[in-house]
Amino acid sequence: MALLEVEGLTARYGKLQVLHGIDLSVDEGEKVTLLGPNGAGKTSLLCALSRTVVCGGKVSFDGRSLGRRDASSVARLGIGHVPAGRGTFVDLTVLENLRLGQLGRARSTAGNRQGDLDLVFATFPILADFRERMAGQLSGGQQQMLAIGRALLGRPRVLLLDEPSLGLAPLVVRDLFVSLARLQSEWGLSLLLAEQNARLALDLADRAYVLAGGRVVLSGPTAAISSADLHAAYFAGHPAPSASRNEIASEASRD
Amino acid sequence: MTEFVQQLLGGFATGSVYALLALSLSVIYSGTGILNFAQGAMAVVSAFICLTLATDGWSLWLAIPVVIALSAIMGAVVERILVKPVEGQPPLALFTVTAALLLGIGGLVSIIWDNEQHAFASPFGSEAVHLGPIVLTAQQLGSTGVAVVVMVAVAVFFRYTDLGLCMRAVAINAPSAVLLGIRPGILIAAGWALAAGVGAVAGIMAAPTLSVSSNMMDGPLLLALAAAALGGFGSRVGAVMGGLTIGVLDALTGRYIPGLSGDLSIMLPFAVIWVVLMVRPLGVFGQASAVRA
Amino acid sequence: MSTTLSTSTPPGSGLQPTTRRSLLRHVTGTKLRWAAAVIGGFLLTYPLSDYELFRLSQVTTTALAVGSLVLLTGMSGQISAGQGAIFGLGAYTTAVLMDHGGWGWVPAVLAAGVVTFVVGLILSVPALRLGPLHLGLVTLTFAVLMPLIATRWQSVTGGTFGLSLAPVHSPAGLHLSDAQFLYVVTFAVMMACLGFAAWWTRGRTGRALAALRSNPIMARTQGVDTKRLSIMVFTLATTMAGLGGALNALVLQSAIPDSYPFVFSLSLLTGAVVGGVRSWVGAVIGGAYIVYVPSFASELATSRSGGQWAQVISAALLLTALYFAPAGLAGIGARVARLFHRRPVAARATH
Repeated sequence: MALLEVEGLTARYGKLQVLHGIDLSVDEGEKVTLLGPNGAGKTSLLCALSRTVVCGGKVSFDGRSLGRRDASSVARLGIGHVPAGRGTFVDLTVLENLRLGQLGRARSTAGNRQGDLDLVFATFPILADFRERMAGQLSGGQQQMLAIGRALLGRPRVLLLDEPSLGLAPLVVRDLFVSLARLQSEWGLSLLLAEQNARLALDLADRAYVLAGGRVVLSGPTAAISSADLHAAYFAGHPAPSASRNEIASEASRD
Repeated sequence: MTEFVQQLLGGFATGSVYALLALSLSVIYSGTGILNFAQGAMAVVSAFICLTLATDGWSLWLAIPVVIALSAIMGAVVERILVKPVEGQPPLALFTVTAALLLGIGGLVSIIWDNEQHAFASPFGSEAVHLGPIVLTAQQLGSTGVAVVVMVAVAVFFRYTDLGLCMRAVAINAPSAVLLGIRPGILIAAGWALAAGVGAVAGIMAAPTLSVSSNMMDGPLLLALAAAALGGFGSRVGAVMGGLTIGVLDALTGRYIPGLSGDLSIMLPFAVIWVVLMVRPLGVFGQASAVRA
Repeated sequence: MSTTLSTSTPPGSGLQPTTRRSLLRHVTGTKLRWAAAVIGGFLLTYPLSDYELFRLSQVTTTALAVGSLVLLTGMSGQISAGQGAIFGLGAYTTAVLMDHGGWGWVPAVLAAGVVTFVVGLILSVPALRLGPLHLGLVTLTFAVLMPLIATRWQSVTGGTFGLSLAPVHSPAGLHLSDAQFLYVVTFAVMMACLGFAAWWTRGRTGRALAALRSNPIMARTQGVDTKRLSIMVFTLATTMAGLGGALNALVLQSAIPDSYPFVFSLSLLTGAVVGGVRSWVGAVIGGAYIVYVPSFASELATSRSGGQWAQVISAALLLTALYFAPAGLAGIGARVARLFHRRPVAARATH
């Protein structure tokens, strides 16, 4: 039985429906990525799972339905969500940001605070160097690490990561993904990653779901997904002229 | 010169009451974006309860902590029951709810107690204290001391306790805090409890000087609002600095500017505030991130 | 176009038009309703006693102040804690001009309108530069300072005892008693002001105000000159409240500081919310509420604290309206009226 089972998930902002019945699953220890063009619904999907947007459909976590739980209780259940744009507490120090990650944790999993903090510093050494600095003074890449580290300290069983590469330089993104690859083994969690950078995400993840227009249009093991499949999924209904298929293949193999 | 220092210190004493009230306002504002116009009325309730206990024979040093604790509980209850349904709504609804609280609490105070002025004996005794050429009453020294202790305690609370850290986080970025599993509702109630407790101290410290009556905090609330505007809404440091500044300005105006004595002396602090706001609308310590849309 | 129209249509007017033809029907329907109100109001002059008309005159003048809140707060979402003080300013201007200057009541009332218009400009121009929170603070300051100045400036304002005004006499040819005449005048002014405000807030201005109310930043990006619009609304509101205060002083034949404490501004807000903060009918309901409820409460309460019980009742009503009926009594009335309107339309559809 999967750790996270999603059936017929819908979501809407006001009267606008953005997800039209998504089926999805994430197993214990899996790394799954969500791909798709802008507006496909990747962020909405993650928000629906963390209950920060109005949604419908069935979501069960560890066998139990999420039901009508609110966002903070879903977080305490073990679903961590690092939103797009990081959301760090800019007027607090790095250490205070991290402490808050621990404070929100459910009492039953309070665990080893200092040990976990050391583990975060091992995963992201730069945070140890900057522990007394204001979060707002960190660079974009450092803030992304802080946001992830903060979420990790809640000891989630599933970590929802929304576009961690957004706004970051390619070198920084590469380093970040190296750290992400180790997260599953170091922290014993499953990963659901929404990403624009398809190549890096496919390299990292075990399975992928491709979204377009609020629906899943392609899914399967990442090894089996080619750039042509991706192209077809992204631009469903707009076939590429044959000459440029090579351009797209070479573009996908760059960054 | 002595006279000037005398007035200055006296101004600090009254200013410390405004600072406490402004601190209450700022705690609630930074947590919820609500400007609690009823903070003064809530402080009046605390003062009246303290008066009743004292009249019944309680020692003031027992009554005061009890009243502070009671006020904190009442603050949390008022928030959870009366204010919560309206949280997140546009500013008009928020303003209306505090206006309703102001009307309701003010009316209830007049009904449960009365409309008279009641003398309140100072918990510090009635002697005068001589510091060289300066003469201050024990009440002035004592109330300022208590106010300072409370302000320091609040600062320590926010800086070093987990609850204080959570409250600061919710004030900066509530959605992020929720995603970490932090329950905003409890924190908002805690903010109102803290504000009510601090307000109770303000009311009790002001009671010997102002006498306890249903409208005793009307003037101080207004000056506290001005202090919070001066210091920057949402900034605790600003609130305290603003309160002390206004207390001093008020004392100096009353003494040195003829024609503006008594109740009219509040005109000068207001004029100063308007000048400051023209130059720096966010207030001296205000930050754009703290301003609610 | 139909979606924006529905945001600028006050809830008190019943029908939600969606086509051109029903829009025409709606406009004529509204005009008919206003005409009926005007005629009905004037007709009340005859059957009622002088005392009852005196009370109604208080209602009409207070309704002007409540109406100013409907315009300012309900329609354009601005907060003013000082409409009561503006009301008092209008009252005092009229009283001072008549008492010290020997002016007749008509020019004195008009002067009150001018003075409150100017004061509205003075208060709103700098405050709007700073933001809506500061407008609230400025009006609050004014609300607290006004009774204070009225009490202190004894030579002009008569201090704590205030000023008394000469009674207004009904002109000889009209065969109306003084009370009847005053009622007719105050009713006419109220209908004129509320009617003007209702007319002004329709159409494009109404949509601009709705945008200003719901999202000022977005309104600016849509080309609405928010500063100018806010100032226009604010000064219109202060003029209305000032006229109301002036006429109220004539009705009561006095202007005293105790009538205009800060709590009075809050009562006006209560009246507006209870009546329906976006409804012109609500303004009249609110005025009636403010005039009749405190005395009603006094009769109920055994002790002398009738005024305080009125305050507590007002607070409870405010909260009830906030939680359950944000559109006030007028909104409830509109919902009921809509139940009756639906049947004829359905009947028409089956033929």
